[in-house]
Amino acid sequence: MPVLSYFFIFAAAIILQLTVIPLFSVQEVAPNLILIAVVSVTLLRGKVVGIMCGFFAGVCFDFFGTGFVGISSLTNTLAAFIAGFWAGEQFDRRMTIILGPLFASIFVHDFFYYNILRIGASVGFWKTLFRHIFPNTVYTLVFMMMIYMLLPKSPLGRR
Amino acid sequence: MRLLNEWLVHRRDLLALFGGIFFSLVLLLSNDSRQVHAVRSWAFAGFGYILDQMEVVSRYRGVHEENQWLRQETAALMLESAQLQEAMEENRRLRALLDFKERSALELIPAKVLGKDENGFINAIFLGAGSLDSLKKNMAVVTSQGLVGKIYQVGNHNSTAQLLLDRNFRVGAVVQRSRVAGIIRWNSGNQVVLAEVPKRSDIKKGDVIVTSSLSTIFPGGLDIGHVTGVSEENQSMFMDIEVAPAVDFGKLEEVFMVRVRPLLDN
Repeated sequence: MPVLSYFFIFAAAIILQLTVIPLFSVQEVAPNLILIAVVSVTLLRGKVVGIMCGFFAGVCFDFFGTGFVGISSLTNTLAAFIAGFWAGEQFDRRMTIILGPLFASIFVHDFFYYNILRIGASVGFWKTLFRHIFPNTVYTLVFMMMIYMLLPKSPLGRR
Repeated sequence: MRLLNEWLVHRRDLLALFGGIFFSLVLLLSNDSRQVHAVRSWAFAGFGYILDQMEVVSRYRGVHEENQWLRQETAALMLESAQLQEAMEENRRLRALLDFKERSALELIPAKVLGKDENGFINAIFLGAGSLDSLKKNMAVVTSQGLVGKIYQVGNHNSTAQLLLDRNFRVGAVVQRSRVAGIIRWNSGNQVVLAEVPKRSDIKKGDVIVTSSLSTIFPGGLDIGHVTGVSEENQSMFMDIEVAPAVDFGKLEEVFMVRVRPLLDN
């Protein structure tokens, strides 16, 4: 997949994350489309490509979205590294098997993302875990599964 | 180099991970947010703690060295202090002796006390002056406090002086106030008695005993001691007067020998 394709995919993901995804937000819990893209690219193309995409997409998203530059690039990099352990696996006929790796990588992303945000604030760890990390992880995972099912052919089936 | 290249190729995923984390952290720390301020304050606190611990370690080493140095310095100062104290004491004694020599009508020859005779036959002291210093046998030995004894043996550079406390020492003495005469001899320990004093003589406790001017060896009027008690025996015509010597024989360091026997004013 040429570099330009990655650029368009992540540009689209960032624009949608900033414009459309807030509509799906429930109690400040929203799916992370950029993370879905990063994990998907990592599963398809491997760790190194996934980490690079995650880093640059994170920098762009932070620059245009959160304003806290570096946080998404860091967490996307970590999530891509975790997802990279299952890169190249054929998941199209065993969709349930993919849930574990996806959950792990999304959880790692959310865990670091919200705990970094928590620094300097008077919010407890457990409250952050159950109020933000788990709900966001589950929501993103569910959203990801829905996208995969809506696609005519799952990208995870291709090598 | 080849191994490094191979490792980098094989573990490029780790390289990408560390690169991503590193640049992300650089970007994160360039923010001016609450989180970064908190992390910076933690970092400063941690850094300060580590520096404190390092300083404690270095201070401990410094304290150990300083302690050693102070111990040496204390020992040196104690030694110096002892020497100064000794010099001060010697100075005081010499001043007293000089004063005594200037005041005295007697011609005095100074000598240092070298030690005590421990052989048991005679209670004596060794002196650092002899016949070459004009010392002669039977010369009176005195200090500013009073009578010490007499020269017993004379060498060229050293001599021996028999002390007032020797059992064979005798000297004619009088009570300064009432002029009652007697013979001074050793009694026991550091005490002498004025013997052969007729009963009912006028003697009181505290009376000063001096050498008699009738003595052929000692100049008259030298302080011997003071009366501390009187012992009378019923069947005797005489009584013994207990006398505490004026000289502290335990602290003899410098003495004078009397060359001639001039008459004293008192």
